[in-house]
Amino acid sequence: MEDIRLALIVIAPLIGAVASYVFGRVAPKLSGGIASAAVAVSLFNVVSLWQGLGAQESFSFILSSWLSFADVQLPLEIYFDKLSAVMCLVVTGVGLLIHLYSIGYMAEDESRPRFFAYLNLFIASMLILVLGKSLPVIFIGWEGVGLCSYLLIGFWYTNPDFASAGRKAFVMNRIGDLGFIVAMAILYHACGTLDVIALSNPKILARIPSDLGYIAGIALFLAATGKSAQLPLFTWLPDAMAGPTPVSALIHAATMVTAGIYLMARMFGVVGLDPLVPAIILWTALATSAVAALIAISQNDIKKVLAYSTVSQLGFMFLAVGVGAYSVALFHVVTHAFFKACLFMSAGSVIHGCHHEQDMRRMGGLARSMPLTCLSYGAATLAIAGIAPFAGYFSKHAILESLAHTPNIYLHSFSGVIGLAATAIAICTAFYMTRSFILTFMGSYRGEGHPHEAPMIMTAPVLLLAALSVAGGLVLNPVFFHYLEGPLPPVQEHASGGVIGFIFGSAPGLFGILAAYTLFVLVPTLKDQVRKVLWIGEKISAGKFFVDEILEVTVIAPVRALSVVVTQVLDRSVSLGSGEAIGGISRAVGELTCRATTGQVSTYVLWIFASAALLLYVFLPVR
Amino acid sequence: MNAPWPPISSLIIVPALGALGCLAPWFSAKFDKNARVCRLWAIAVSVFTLVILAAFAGAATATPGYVLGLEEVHPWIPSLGISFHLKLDGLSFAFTLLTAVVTLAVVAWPSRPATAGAGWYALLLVGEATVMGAFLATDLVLFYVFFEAMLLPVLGALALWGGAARLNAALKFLVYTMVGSALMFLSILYLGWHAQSMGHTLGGNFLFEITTLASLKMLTSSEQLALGLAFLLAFAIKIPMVPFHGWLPDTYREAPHGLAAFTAALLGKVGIYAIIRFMWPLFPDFMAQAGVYLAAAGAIAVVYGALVAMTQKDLRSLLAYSSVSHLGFCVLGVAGVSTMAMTGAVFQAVSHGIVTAALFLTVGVITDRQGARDFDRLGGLAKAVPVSAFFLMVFSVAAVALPLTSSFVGEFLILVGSWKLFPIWTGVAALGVVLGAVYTLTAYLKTMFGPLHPSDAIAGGDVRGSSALVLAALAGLVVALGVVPGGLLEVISPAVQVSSTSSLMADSSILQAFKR
Repeated sequence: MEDIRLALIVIAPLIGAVASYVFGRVAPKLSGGIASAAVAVSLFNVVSLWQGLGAQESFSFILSSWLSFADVQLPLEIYFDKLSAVMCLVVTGVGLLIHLYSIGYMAEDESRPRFFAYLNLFIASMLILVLGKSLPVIFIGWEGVGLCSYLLIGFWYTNPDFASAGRKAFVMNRIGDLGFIVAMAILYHACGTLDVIALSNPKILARIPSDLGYIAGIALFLAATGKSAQLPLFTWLPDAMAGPTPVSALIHAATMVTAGIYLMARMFGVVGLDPLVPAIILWTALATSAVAALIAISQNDIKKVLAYSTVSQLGFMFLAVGVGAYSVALFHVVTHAFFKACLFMSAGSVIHGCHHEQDMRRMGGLARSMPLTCLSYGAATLAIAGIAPFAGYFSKHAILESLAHTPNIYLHSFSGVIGLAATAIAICTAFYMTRSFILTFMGSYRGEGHPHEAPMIMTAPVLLLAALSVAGGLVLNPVFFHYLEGPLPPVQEHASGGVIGFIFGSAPGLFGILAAYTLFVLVPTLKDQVRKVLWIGEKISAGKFFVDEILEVTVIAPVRALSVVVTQVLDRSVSLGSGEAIGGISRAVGELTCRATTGQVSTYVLWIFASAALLLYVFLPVR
Repeated sequence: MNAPWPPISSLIIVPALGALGCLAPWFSAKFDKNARVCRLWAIAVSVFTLVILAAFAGAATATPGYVLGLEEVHPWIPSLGISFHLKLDGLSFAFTLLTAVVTLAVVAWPSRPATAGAGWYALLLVGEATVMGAFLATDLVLFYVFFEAMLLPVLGALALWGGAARLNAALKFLVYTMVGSALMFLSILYLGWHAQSMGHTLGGNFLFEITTLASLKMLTSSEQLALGLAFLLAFAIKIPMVPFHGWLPDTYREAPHGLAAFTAALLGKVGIYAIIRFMWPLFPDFMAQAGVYLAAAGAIAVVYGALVAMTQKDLRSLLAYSSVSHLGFCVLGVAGVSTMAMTGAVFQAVSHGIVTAALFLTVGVITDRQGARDFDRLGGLAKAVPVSAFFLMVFSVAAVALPLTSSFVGEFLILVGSWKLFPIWTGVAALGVVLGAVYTLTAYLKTMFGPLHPSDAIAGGDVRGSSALVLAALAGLVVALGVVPGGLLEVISPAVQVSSTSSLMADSSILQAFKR
C-alpha cells in the first residue's frame, strides 16, 4: 500500500540538509536545530508506520520510475517491513540523539552548516539504503552513505591526512561496490529481477545456475566487507576516526558500518544459496574479529580503541550471518548501536572536556571531573563486555549459542573451535574496554589544563543511550527474534537459563574485566612481566597486524607501478608512434603536392580539363 | 511521409545562420564590447535551437506510445544518388540534445580566449551546425561531409586561440582524423556502387541511404569485414579508442577551455553514435563477430585510461584520459546486441558529454585563477573558491557515477546489460569503478583540500554570475537525468533496438517508398 509517510521518512532529512545549510549560512546556530528537527520528523513517521505494521505486512512508495524503460522495470521504490522498521528505528532514533549531541559538540566550529547538511544527507542516504525495495535502490543509499562518510571524514579538510583518510574510505568501499555491481548483473540475468522480496523467493532463486550462485553470494559479501570493514578491507575504518566524533558515533559505529549485515540479511536467500558462502563469511568474520580485538589492546588513542572494537564487533555480527542466524546478527546490530554510540559520544565528551586530547596516556581520573560521562562510558563498557543483564550480553550470548548448532556442512565439524575462538574474542573485548575505562577515568589526571564535564545538550543524549545499553537487551530479548520471523528465517529458540545462566554467560566478560583490573590497577608490575613474555604479540598488535603494509605491497604498489608503466611505456609509444606516423604522412602528402605543383601552366590546364571531364561524367545523366 | 514542422534541417540551419550573423559587421566594428553583444546573440541562437529540439520531443511525448521517428528528404546531387536525408529518431534525439545543451553552455560561458571576438562564437555555432548534421544525416555521403566539416571549426579555434603548442596539436588532430576517414570514404563509395550494381538505385544512380542499404543485405562476410574495419578505424580515432587516442591529450591540453569542453563533449560521441547508426545495420555479421573484440577494446580502454589518468599531474591531461576511460564504457555498451547495454551506452554518452564539459569549464576557472594546472602548484582551494569547490565536487561525484547522477544510469545499464554477453570484459570494465574513484578523488584532494598553496599569479575569482548559472544548470541536468532518466531512456531504446537488430527485421516499407 502506498503511504506518503514512507516518502516523508526519506524526504524530511533531504529537505533538512538543504535547509540547515541555507539557513545556517545566515544564522549558524539554526543549522543544528533544523537538522535535528528533520530527523525528528523522520523518526515520527517511522514510529507511526511501525505501529501500522500490525495491521498490514508492509508499506511501499514509488518515488520515481527511475531506471524503468521498455521491458526493464527498476523503479525507485521504497519498502517498509519489519526488517526495515528495525533498521529505521535505529537510524532515526540513534541518529536524532547524535544530532542533538552534535549541537553541543560542534558549537564552536564555524562550518556547522556544512556539518549538519552532510549529517542530514547521511541520514537520508542511510534510510534509502534500509528502505530500498530493489538492489539498485539499496545501492543508491549504499553509495550515498559512502559519499557522506567521505565528506565527513575529511570534514576538516585543510589537514591533508584527514582528507586522505576520506579518500581511503571511499576507495576501499568502492572495491566492495564492485562486488555489489557484479552481484546485480548476475542476479538480473539469472532471475530477471532485482527486487529484494522476489530474491528471497525460493522459486525465483532456483533460476540461478549453481555455478553462478556462489559467485553472486561472494560478490555480495565483498560489498559487505567494504562497507562493514571486514578483512581485508577494514583499515579505512580506524583512519576514519579523523572525522568529528559524532560522525564516528553515528556513521562509523552505529549505522553505516552495519549496512553490510543488513545487506546479508536482506539477501539471505542468495547468501545461503551455496553453503560455501556462509562458510567463507564465518571464517573471514572470525579472523577479522580476532585481529581487530588484538589490535585494540595496544591502542592509546581512545577513538582508535573504539574503532577497532567496532571492527571486531562487526565481525561478531558476521559470525551470526555465517551460521544463518540473521535475526541474531540484527539483534547485535541494535544493541551495538546503543552501546557503541554511547561509548563514542562519551569519548567525544572526554575529548571535548580535555581540550581535544585523544591520547589516553594523557587522561586519567576523569571520573571525578566528568561523573556523568564516566557513568555512561562505564555502563556501555559493561554492555559491550557482555555482562548480564546489560544489552550486549543478550546479543553476544545469542551469537555464541547460535555458533554451536549450524547445519552448514563446511562448518559443523569445527563448531567447537569456532565457539572457543569467539569466547576468547569476547574475553579480549572485555579486557581492552576495561583497559580504556581504567586509563581514562581511574587513577589520576595526567594531562594539562582542567577537564570539564560536557554541557547538558551532550550529556542528556549520552545518558539516554547509556540507559538503552543497560536495559535495551532485557526488554528486546524476549520479542526480537520472533518479531523478525516474517522477513528473516527463524532462529532456534535458546534457553535463557535464569540467574545461573546469566552468571555462566557473563563469565567471559567478567574474566576479561578482572584480568584488565588486575593488570592495570591491582598488580601493575605484573603487566610489565606479561609484556616481556608477549613482546612479539605486542609488536604485532601495535603494528596493527601490518594489514595496511600488506595491502600496500600486494595491491597498491603493483597498481601504481602498472599505471606508471602504462603511462611511461605504452602511452608514450602511442604518442611517439603517432608523431612519427604523422610526420611520415605529412611528408608524403607534401611531396605529392610538390610534384603536382610543377609550375608549368600546361600541366595545370590538363588537371583542370581532367577534373571538369570527371565532374561532367558524374553529374550529367550520360547513361 | 509527413514532413515535420519545423523541418529537422532547422537544427542545422539555425546555428549556421547564427554563425553568419556573428560575422555581421556590427559585431566586429569595435572589438570587445561588441563581442559581448555577440555572445548574447549566440546564446539566443543556441537557446532557439534547443527550443526547436524540445518542440520535437514535446510533439513526440504528447502521444502515448508514439516512437520518435521524423525524416526529411531533399534532393541534393540526384545524379549521384546523394540526398539531403535527415532523420530524427530517439538515437539522434539524444545526441542532438547533448549538442544543443553543450553548445549553449559553452557560448553562455562568460570567459573566452583573451584575443577572441565574435569569431569565437561564429566558430562554435558552425561547430554546432556541423555536429548536428552528423547526428542527423542518414545519407552516408552527407554524413561524411558533416563528419569532416565538424573538424574545421574546432581546428580553426584551436589554431587561433590555443596554447603554446597549438599548431602542433591542430596538425596532429587533423592528420589523425583524415587518415581515419579516408578509408571510410572509400568504403562509402564502394557501398554506393555496390548497391547500384545490384540494381538498387536512387533515381537511377548510386544509393547511399543507410536504411535502404542495410535492408539490401548485399554484403558478403568478407566485404563486411573489410568495410567494417575501415568504418571502425574512422570511429576508433574519433571516439578515441585505445590505441588511437594519440591526438587527444595534445588537443585537450592546448585548446581553450570552452573549446576543450565542446570537443570533449561532442566530437567523440559521433563515433559512438555512428557505430550504432551505421555499423550495426550495415555490417551485422561483422559486428556480431567483432563484438567481443570491441567489448575487450572498451574494457581495456576503461582500465588503460584510468591507469594513465592516475599518473597525470596536469588537470587537463587527467580529464583527457578520464574521457578515454569513460568512453570505454560506451564502446563496451555498443559491442553487443543488448538493448539495455546499448541504451545505456547512448545515455552514458550524453551524460559524459554534459559532465565532462562542466568539468573542463570548472577546471578552467580554477586553473585561470591560479595560473597553474599542475597539482604541485594547486591545493587547499576549497576555502578560497568555495563555489568552484562545490561544483567540482558535484561533477566529480557525477564522474565517478554515484547513483542519482546521470552517469550512474549509463554505467549501470552498460555493465548489467553487457554481463550476459561478455562477462569477463564487463568485469574488467567494472574495475573502472574503483580506479575512477582513485584518480578523481586524488585530483580533488590535490586541488581543493590540504593547506592553501601560496600562488603568485591570482587572476580572477570564484565562479559567479553567469558562469555559476551555467554550472548550476548543468548540475541540475545531471541530477535530473539521474533521478528521472526514464523519459530519455524510453526515447532511446526503441531506436537502438531497431538499429542493432535491423538485420533481423529489415524495414521494407522504406524500401517500398523508394521503389515507387
